[in-house]
Amino acid sequence: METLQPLLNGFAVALRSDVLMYCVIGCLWGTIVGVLPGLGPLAGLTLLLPLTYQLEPTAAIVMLAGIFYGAMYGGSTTSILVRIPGEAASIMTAIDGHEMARKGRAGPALVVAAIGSFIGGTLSVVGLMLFAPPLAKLMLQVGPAAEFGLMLLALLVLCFVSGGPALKTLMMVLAGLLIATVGVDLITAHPRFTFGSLQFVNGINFVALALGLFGVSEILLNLEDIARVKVIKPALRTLVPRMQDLKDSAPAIGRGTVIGFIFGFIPGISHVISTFVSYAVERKLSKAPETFGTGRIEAVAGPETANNATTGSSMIPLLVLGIPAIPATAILLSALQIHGVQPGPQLVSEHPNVFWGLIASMYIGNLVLLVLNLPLVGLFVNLLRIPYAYLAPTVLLVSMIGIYSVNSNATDILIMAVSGLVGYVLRKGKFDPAPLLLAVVLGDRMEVSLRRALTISDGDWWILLQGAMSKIFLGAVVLLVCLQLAASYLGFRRKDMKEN
Amino acid sequence: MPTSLRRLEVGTAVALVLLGVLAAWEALRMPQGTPALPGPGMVPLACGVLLALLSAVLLAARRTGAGSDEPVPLGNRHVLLCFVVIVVAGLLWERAGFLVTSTLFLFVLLWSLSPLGGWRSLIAAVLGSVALRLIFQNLLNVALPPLPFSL
Repeated sequence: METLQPLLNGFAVALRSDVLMYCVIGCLWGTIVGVLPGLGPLAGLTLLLPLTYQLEPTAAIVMLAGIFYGAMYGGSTTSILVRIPGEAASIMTAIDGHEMARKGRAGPALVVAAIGSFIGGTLSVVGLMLFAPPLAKLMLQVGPAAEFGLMLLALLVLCFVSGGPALKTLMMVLAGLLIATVGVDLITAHPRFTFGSLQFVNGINFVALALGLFGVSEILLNLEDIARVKVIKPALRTLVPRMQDLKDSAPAIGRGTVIGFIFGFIPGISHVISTFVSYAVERKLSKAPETFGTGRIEAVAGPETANNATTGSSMIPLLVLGIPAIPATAILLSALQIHGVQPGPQLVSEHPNVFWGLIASMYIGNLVLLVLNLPLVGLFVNLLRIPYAYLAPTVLLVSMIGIYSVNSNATDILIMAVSGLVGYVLRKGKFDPAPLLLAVVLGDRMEVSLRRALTISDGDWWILLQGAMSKIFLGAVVLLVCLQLAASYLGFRRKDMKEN
Repeated sequence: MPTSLRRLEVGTAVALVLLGVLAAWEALRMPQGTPALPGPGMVPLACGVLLALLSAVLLAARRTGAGSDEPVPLGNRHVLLCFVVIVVAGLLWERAGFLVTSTLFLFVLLWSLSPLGGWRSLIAAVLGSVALRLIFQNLLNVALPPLPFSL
């Protein structure tokens, strides 16, 4: 009952005609950027972020959240019909989904992916609604020392679970923390790394950096090979799945929801990992694992559900702790701050309209996506026929307009260009730029909480270990480092034994 | 330009060592504060030193033979052109105004990437720029830089 009344108020906000309209626009735009290869949720969010400045906070956040989970939906269409994952989380769907399409069963694959996405997305919002408020109450008791421990834990988890080697990820985190220090120091107002220029007094524009590292670098990577893609176009009448398809995919959808929800809490590439885990689980539980890769519907249902189930749970660290778990939620964090809403434990009590309106809009958005996506699949498929040679210049120009409109400062376009080139080189060298971006977001708060904790304790570093929460967070940090060291040591030993 | 993953990692590690050293050097010139009242230089100094050290570890590992020699194609004329065109557009953006910059930007990229040819690329670039200006400036109230001399 404690949750029901605010949720009803949230629905009253989300069903307002203007908020509903922005929710639908966000879902549609998200699906489009999810469908188009080379544009993911991150590019979709950064492109529309500047256009939300004139909206009131709830409408803006609802629209941006719609883009986020809309892109998760859209990715499956490209994976199934073209075998090009629109974004990384759809890689696993591409394997069996496209095989189904080649056998003339694109329709059932698309429908099951949509149903799985709807169920996973909706149930994860239920989890968000149930877990976020009590967690927020708990987090209100956290002081600066525990806050520092929590953010250190988030960054370390990111280092150990992200795709690349821990050393490379750690280097990216440190580079991100350094970038976060550019601009005026938040405590003493001392300028840092500004080199006398007023352009960097407020730090490096986060949106320009994000769009460069992910959007521009993705376009540069795609420009290496701009051959036209071959699209399989399903007829509308073939969309209806057989009863057996639904029976086969139901358990996979259930398991995908649980896997996706749990993995959504992990910082880094949770939405990608969850799809890999879901695929592996389905294969392990299958009576005929050797047929995976030849067009099994469970292999589409599980990963697609898991992918969408992460969207709800990845919102929990963002809304309750102010810690973005993935780059896309980092853009949402930036958007909330631009609209004067500080995510964190006080969000639920200080901005109930934003919090509960967002949750209600996520229920509505998932339904909108289910209703719109299937009839419009033909339209979305046609988007794939636009040659990249026309798409890339248009997307770049719109990105430049978006970046310029943030501060009316052309330097941000240059920052976007340079970070695009840096992102391109980093990705070629197998350095993941996501940890860098998340460290840029967390850097300021991490530094301020550490320095505040030291000031409170009169320079005593033991304050970081005082209090139950601090002990839990730093204990987890130590445990994680020990586990990683043990794993590396055992790895070396195994290698030695093999060589001997 | 073909290269190898190892070379790319070495190049990136060298760049990050330099970045770390430069950041630490610059941070040393900032007030460091006291243990009870840490100054603005403390965190950049620590991050710079750690970044340089970790990058040096990666560099040493790759120099001693660890890592992969898998070939990596690094850039081609399209990638280079695209980067240069964005930089030039960024430099011209406020000086030449939105319409001129965006027309030039679209024209160069369409001409070089698409099979449209010179004239059709130019017409598409002009129409595209005008359409984007109408959408963003007139419809969405985004302030875009005007043409020079208040045209």
